[in-house]
Amino acid sequence: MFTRTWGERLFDWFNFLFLLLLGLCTLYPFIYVLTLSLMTPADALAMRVNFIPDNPTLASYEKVFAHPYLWQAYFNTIVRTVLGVSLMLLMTSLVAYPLSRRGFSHRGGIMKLLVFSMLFNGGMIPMYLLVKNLGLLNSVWALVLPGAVTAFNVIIMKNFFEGIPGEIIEAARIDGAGELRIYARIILPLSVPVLAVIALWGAVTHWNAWFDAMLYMHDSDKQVLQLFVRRTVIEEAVSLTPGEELNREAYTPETLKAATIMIVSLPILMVYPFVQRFFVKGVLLGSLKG
Amino acid sequence: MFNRSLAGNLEDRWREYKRNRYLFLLFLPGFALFLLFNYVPLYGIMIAFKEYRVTEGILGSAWAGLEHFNRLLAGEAFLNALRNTIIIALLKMGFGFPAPIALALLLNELRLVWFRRVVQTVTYLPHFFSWVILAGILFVFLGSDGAMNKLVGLFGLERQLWLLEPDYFYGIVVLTDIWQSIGWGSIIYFAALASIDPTLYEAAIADGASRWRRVWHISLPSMMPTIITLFLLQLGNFLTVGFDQIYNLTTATTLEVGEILDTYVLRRLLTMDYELGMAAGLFNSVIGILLVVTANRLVKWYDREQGLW
Amino acid sequence: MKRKKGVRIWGGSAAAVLLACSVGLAGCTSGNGGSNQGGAGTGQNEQTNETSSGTNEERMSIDWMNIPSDLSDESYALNAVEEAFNVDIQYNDIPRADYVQKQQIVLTSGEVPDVMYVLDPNQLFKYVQQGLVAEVPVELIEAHMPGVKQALDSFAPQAWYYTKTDDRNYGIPLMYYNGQFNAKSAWRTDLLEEAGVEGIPQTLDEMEAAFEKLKQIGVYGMNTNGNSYYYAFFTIFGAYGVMPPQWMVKDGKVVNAAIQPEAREALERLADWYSKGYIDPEFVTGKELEQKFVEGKFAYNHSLSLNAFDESNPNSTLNAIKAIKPDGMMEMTPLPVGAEGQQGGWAWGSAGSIYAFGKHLEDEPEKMARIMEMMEQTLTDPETFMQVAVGEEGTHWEYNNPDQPGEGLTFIPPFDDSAKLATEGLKNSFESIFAGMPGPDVIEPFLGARVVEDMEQYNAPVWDIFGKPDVLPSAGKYWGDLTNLKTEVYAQIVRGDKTIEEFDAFVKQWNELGGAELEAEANELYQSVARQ
Repeated sequence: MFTRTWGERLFDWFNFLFLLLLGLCTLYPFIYVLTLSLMTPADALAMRVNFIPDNPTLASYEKVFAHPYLWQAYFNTIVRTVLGVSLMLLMTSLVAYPLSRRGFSHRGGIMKLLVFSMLFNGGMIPMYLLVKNLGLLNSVWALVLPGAVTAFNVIIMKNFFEGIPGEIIEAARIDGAGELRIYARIILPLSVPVLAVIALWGAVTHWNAWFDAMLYMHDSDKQVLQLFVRRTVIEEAVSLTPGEELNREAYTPETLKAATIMIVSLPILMVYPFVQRFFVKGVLLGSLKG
Repeated sequence: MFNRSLAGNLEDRWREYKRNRYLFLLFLPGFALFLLFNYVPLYGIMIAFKEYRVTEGILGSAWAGLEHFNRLLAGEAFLNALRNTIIIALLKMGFGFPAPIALALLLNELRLVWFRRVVQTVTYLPHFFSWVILAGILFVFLGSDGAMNKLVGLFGLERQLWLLEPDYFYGIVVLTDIWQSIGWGSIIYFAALASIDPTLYEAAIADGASRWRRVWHISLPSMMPTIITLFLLQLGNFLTVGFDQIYNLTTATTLEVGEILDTYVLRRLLTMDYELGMAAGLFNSVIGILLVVTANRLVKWYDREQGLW
Repeated sequence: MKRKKGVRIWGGSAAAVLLACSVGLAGCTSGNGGSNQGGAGTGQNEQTNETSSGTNEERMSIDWMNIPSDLSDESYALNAVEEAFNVDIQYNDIPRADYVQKQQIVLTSGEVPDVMYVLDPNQLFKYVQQGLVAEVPVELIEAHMPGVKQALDSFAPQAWYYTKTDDRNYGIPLMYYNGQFNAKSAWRTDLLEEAGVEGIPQTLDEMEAAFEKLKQIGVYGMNTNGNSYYYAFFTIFGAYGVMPPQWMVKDGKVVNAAIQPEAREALERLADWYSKGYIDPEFVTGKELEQKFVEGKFAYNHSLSLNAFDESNPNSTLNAIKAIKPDGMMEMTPLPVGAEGQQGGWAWGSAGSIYAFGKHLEDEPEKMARIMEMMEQTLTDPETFMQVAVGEEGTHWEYNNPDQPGEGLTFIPPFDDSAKLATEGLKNSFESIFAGMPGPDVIEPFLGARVVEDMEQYNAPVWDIFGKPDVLPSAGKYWGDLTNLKTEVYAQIVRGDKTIEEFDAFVKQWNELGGAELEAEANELYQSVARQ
């Protein structure tokens, strides 16, 4: 550690500065939306965003929170996220583990099936009919079952499982452990980083999803949080109703849009720092030897 | 003779299944779910070859041959859109794909743990804003009085209307794509780096390997399976280059360079025109599968252990 | 030790999830019959029909697919309608942004509702083609909805283009009150004064003179949304007597304004203005128009709402201007006048969307009639309209001046928030979610004389002779490409990327891309209606 060369020091400094700059660039949109959400509409019109609102106000937040379906939508989103991620982790790892074993039959064929499924899809009509015929319309299962096992997640997980040294599994087998035991006691604990990644991906996907809820849920009180963003932010962008220029009430002020985005996104943004601790180097294999 | 070997084969198979029966038990529920939601709906692909009538259903509708493909592939407008799409796809492959890998490696070299965590978290933020929002921010940032022009002014250069110039369009698309997705994309690589046995590094340091050599000989090879897998999978979506991003960044003067397959198809999608949409999807899929199969073979040829299957 | 604990948690939670999953699945499948009635299919409707045809007093059940998406069983409007008309409404509402897509998929899967809101003619015609919607002969509308029929004929005659195809009528067109107004124009009078311009420019020539003076003080003359196929410089085109890309009648023939010589003249002038620095080069993006106007970056804005001028609203454009510049001022002005006295602003016409009936209602005429009668009463009887579309006096709204109802009404907090109002199934734009907008005679008293007066001020609306271009059979095929081409080439000509001579090439390209075919169809449609 103390034998860093001059070049290495220089690199460290450049690296530090570069990442600092990158961090500032990527922080920009967040700060921008945050500031906007704290401004009055008139201030937002008058001076664009200059990072410190002149008259900071929580009025936009109050307005969004006053929406009668907001809490219901929050609840629905949390339910689908928790349920969806649990199901996804369980099912994906159960499919991925056998595939990571060399002796497993038809491995190649199944992998081809997986990859093929990522490239082709039958469109929305057959999918809607399938969900309908399974009796899942208007039920949270319509939101969590279709995406529970995706080829992408299986392949990523399988790759990580394959990185686990075969000797460990052999040793366990010699000790008399069955497959379920090996899976639960060895494979899963050794794969926490990839499980964390899949969980994070899954959580974000579920949190941000709106299309399936829009399609499969017919009742207003079954809607998810993202539909709020969709309605306040996207709706105007995609379909400004003719004549709305005249009727400003129909417009959503930028400040309200910003507050909606903040309210909807903040919880899922907070998840990441917690997931990060699973990425700490070496705790896993290191602990294995202990 | 033939029968005997067949029987023998079956017997071998059976023995294999029997040996793996517990694995199969673990495997089946998830795999059934996968088949149900990924393969059952595939009959919808037929729509691309049919004159779809709601009352007849997908199976009952009359065949239309390749009519919808003719409609899709006709004319110069398609070629222009295809060319633009390929350019953007190549640029995103060339710059967008390696960016998260580089970020993961650079972060891995950071000594300040708290700083690493902060940068990691912050770089992942833009992923959570839709392109409508990000484009709005970019139009201010790159506008005539925007921060970018102020910066450029500091260096005594001429101000530009960045988003109006067709020449800058692809550059902006690639850079903003990296900006939006670099942190998100690097998560999987952090996980790969976290799985590396630290004793490898310790041994390398003991051997006097330089930092650069450790990255090159330990970090990168450990990430390689993940890199290859992601690369192959991304090839499958080669022609999907980010409709939301491009649609929201395009203006009246960049309509031509910003015309990609998705916008081309969208404009031609008449009401309930599932046929054309499916034909376009199928075109993308076929290109994708050709690329994946070829690339997978190349990977295998280089290293038998790698590749998707 | 720590490790082992983690392992156990994993195994445990996995089993728990699996258990919950299987139990839930079973429960869900068995409970489905009851929960799925909202999107009832045709089978169920037939049943309803059998029971309801016997006794007239029976509450009729109606399956309704609609846009506003904040309804619950407790919503005021839903209950008001059910009570007023003694019906049960199975409500299937879809957010606007996704309406078309979801409607198509739901219809495609065989769930055809009794009544559905259809946004645009092209969708209706496609549903007709697919045999999903019922024919509604005009005579039937005349019989059950005489008041509405009359209002449509006088107020929004082009509405029949939206529902008729091959001489058959397939739905009830809606009236659209706001469609008769164009967006408002305004000048920053403080900037005019600063630049030494006397009075407010009225004609194009006066504008040009003012632009030159504004340029001296570093202010752009005008800005517009150049990224919009219809809003780009629309008042300037209006001053030349065209409104690209609307269909217009010229010498007895239908032509498209986008390729007319008048449009070329307007473009020539705009290109000249641009080269002289009168137009903000960023007009192409169409972004931040309002901000730039407030900041005083440009002086003439032609896409303002009425509320922008509202002094009593702290968030209006006017007050935003005053917040950063105490002596800042903007004034609503007439649309610019061209050399031959023409002026005009884009308007959408007073026909709106459509209500269509599911095909199965052809066999249930009494249900169709009942729904039509509901709509008729809602749209023509102010009292009913108030009850089901505006809300309850004292709860949702109050008169501005109880002695003078003609002065309009105001919504009471919390219902002054349109989102809150929407959860009651009400709209501050005065339309019933179950019948659409009534004609002006019903709406205007609610708005109040002053608002109507304000809206009619400086109004020179120009609308497409068909209202919406998608009534033309091949519009779906070509219109997207054509508007794209128009947006791009117009912007290029104004910016000087293309010379005005290239306008002829544009006309040729327009016609080749389907413009000629659409023009032929437009003439055919126009003639066929003229014959009737």
